[in-house]
Amino acid sequence: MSIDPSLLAKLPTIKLRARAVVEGVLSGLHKSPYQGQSVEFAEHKEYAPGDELRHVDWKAFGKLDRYYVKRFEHETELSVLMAIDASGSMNYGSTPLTKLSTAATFAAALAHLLIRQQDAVGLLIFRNGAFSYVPPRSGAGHLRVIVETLDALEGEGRCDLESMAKALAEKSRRRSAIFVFSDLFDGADGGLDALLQLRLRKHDLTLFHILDPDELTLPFDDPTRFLSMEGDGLALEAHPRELRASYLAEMCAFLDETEQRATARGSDYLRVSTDDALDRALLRFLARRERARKDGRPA
Amino acid sequence: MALSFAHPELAVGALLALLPLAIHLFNRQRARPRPFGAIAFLMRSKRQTARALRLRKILLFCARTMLLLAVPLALARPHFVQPTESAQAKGPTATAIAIDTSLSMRAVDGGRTRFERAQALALDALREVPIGDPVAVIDCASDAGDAVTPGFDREASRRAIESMSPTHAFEDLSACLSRATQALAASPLPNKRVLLATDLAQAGFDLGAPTPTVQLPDGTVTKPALILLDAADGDAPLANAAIADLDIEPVPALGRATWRFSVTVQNNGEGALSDLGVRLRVDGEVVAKGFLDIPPRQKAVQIFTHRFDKSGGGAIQGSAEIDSDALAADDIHHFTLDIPREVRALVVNGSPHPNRFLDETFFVRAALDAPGSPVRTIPRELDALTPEDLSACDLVILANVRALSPAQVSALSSFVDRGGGLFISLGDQVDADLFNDRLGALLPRRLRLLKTAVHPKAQSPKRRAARLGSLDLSHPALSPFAAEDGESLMAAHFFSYFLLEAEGQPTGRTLASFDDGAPALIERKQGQGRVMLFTSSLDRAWSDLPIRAAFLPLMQRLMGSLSRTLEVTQSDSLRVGEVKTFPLPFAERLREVVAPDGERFSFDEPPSPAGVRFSKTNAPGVYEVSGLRQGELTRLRARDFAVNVDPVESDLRRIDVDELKAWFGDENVTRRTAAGTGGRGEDGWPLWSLLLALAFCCFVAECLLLRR
Repeated sequence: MSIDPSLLAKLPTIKLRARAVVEGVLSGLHKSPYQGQSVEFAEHKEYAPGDELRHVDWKAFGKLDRYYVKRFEHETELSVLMAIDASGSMNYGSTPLTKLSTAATFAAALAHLLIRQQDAVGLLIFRNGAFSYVPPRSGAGHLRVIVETLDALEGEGRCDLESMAKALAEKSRRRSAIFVFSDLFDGADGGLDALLQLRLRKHDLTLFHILDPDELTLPFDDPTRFLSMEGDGLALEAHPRELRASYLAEMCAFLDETEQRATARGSDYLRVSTDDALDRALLRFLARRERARKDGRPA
Repeated sequence: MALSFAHPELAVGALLALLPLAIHLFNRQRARPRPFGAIAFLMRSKRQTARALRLRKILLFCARTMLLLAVPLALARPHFVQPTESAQAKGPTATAIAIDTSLSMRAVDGGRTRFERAQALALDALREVPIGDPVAVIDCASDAGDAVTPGFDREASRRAIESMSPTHAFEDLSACLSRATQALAASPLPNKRVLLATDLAQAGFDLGAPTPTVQLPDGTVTKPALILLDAADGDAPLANAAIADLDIEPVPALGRATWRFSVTVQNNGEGALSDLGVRLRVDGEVVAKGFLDIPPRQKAVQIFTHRFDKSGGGAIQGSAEIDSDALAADDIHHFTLDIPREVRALVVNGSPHPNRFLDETFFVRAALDAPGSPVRTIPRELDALTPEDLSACDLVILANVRALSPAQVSALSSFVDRGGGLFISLGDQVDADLFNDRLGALLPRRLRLLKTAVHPKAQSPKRRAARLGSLDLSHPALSPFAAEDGESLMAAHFFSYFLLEAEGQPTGRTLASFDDGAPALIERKQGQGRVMLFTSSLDRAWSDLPIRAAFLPLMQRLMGSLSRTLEVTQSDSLRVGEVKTFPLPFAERLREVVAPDGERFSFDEPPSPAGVRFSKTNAPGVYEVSGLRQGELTRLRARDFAVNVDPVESDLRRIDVDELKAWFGDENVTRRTAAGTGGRGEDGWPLWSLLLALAFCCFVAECLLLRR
């Protein structure tokens, strides 16, 4: 059962929305898809009640007739950095949820899940050429900080993926999972490439491409004066019907190219529309991660 | 040439052409502002498609504008107006609209007759006349005595034009122009103009006639402006063939009731005609067909020979026809023909002879039994003549009969009273006293004594022989001998003949006399029949007439006259509009004539001494005559007559407008074609249809552009 985005929008805060999404996700989730990832063997420790049986070293038991369990480095400290594009274009929303609200809800729900399994979650928000940073930590108190930060989000200014990539590279020195929430409407040519170069630093990069249905279909009929939302003063007066065909061709090419480039660099790419059920989208994402883990692929 | 409109109020609709511009401006103002995240994609799309979009927009704008402009303009019926014509409209003008309704206006061109075009042009012209100007409408077919004055009742003028119809007659357009000009004289306005709606057929104009003028109120004489409304639209003359003449004559050499029909066909066109079908129709059935090749402007004759299967005679109706063309009315020529019945003549031989050349009746029987003769002879000996014989014949020839019995005379007298004919010739068997005694009541004049001018066997008998001195050429039987045909008759020598008693009771009409004044042939009516007395013989004993060339026709015509079959031949062929005169006394019995269109006309007027006149010959065809016969109204088929169109109207060549200008005055004449009056464009298509075609094209273009 999915959560209708219009019902989700009626919930006043990101916290409540994220919880609703997480509950929907948990009802269909059996175990964390992130368990055991990015960990290294450290030492043996004598078994004590409470230790997981799956970590018992049965070879040592055969040799020593004693129960030892393996200990791993960073066992419970997967570092996840969520980057949110809070440019002006993310404020657009033809559905009850804007793209920014959708990104924030999705990020909060994901943070909820990750912190719930003791992972460290950080937040990097890009807005009007600057960014604000919440370092990765775990714990319920940190979740509240993240959710409150997301709750206060407002979009403004232009999208600059290159700056976002630089900031992410700077803030994630060790291997991290990086989730980018953006519409990727960056006018510069190298923005996406800069972002994808994070893969070269062994980061696990996932692009959440947040789009509005209007942007996918251009459903307008009347003569319209289109205004830019990123504060650059651009405007275009046009008859949407006349432009629709070429616009959709442009948009399809952009989406296809973006997905192709992202997957080619080993990144995960998930397109999320603001009218999608977010719990379903999150489950889809988690299921894909689980499959990738079983297949031994990075994603 | 300026543009004008037949329905100017509809031209206001052309303002609709501003609608696309207004919608464009309105939509620009109406553009709703909308913040949009993916504006960069929109701008890129716009950059890519801007040129094509702009072109498409311009084309759409043009198509819509032209569509909305063309439709109202087409409905307004635009036309070009000659500037000279406009220049002539200086203030109030009295206008006379004359319409040519002659036969040539029936020519069909492009599915419409030229009269219909002329009518439309005249109605258009009437609409253009300012409300305050007086208008007179003249039908060129009307009589010169029908005075028309300009009036202000535009509705009446419109009705007058609409009620006109083309005739089948020739019309003198010069006279029509004169009538139109005279009609304008009744208006005190100084500006006057005549609009003549015509096909400008050359035959209708008489440029030798005086130029029509009109007197102004100040006494000066001027010519009105003449505007020719060209119903032929300036086109080349239509190809038209017509039956110019039909000559019908009997062909005795081919047998009785055999007639030759010579159909003269005139090619009035500029191109040669090939395999033009010519047909002869008798009583509704086509009895002969032929084909003609006729060079341009030439005539050709198609001859048909037809033998009628009417042994008893009778009237027939028929027509000669050619393949139909632009002017159908002149492609048929109607005729009526009365085939004379076979006349049976009882020939009573008073002096038979074993040698047939010396037989009294050899020559007369040979003449009457000749091929093509309407008479058939029945020989009888005098003693064998019975009353029953008389009932089976139409006339009796008594050739050199000595005397008849009283019973025979009585029967013969009754026979003549009933309408039979009696021809009496004399000879050596005739005793004057006995003849007078027995046949005195029947003779036109009584016999006196025999005169022998010279004995045939005397030396040079012809020098002293008598000759005919005079002939009554007014008699139908002798009328063909008026010219050289009569020379043979007048050259005949008569050696002996009976002199007659001086005129008394009974008397007769002397048809021929000898050079000494003695009657040679005398006729008398008795009862319903007639008696002719020839005072010489019918064999060669008393004259050489039987071996003269005139003998055969003379005998045939005399017998025809006696049997009253001589005058019934082809009836006169009248032209449309000509008067048919029925001579007395026959006319006294006429009661009714049925025209080809079924309209009935009665003879109300009392007959004049010349007879009864019938003048309502307005349409070509056969007019059927009815009259009283034995007190009952009966169809008199023999009196039917045919009326045909005047071939002058078949020549559709157009008059040179320059000649017309030279006649009427160059500065006064302008020609307005249908193209100039809203009918047509320069290429011959009506302007309004061109505009509608343009509108349709614009509509299709708009649909295609919208689908892209």
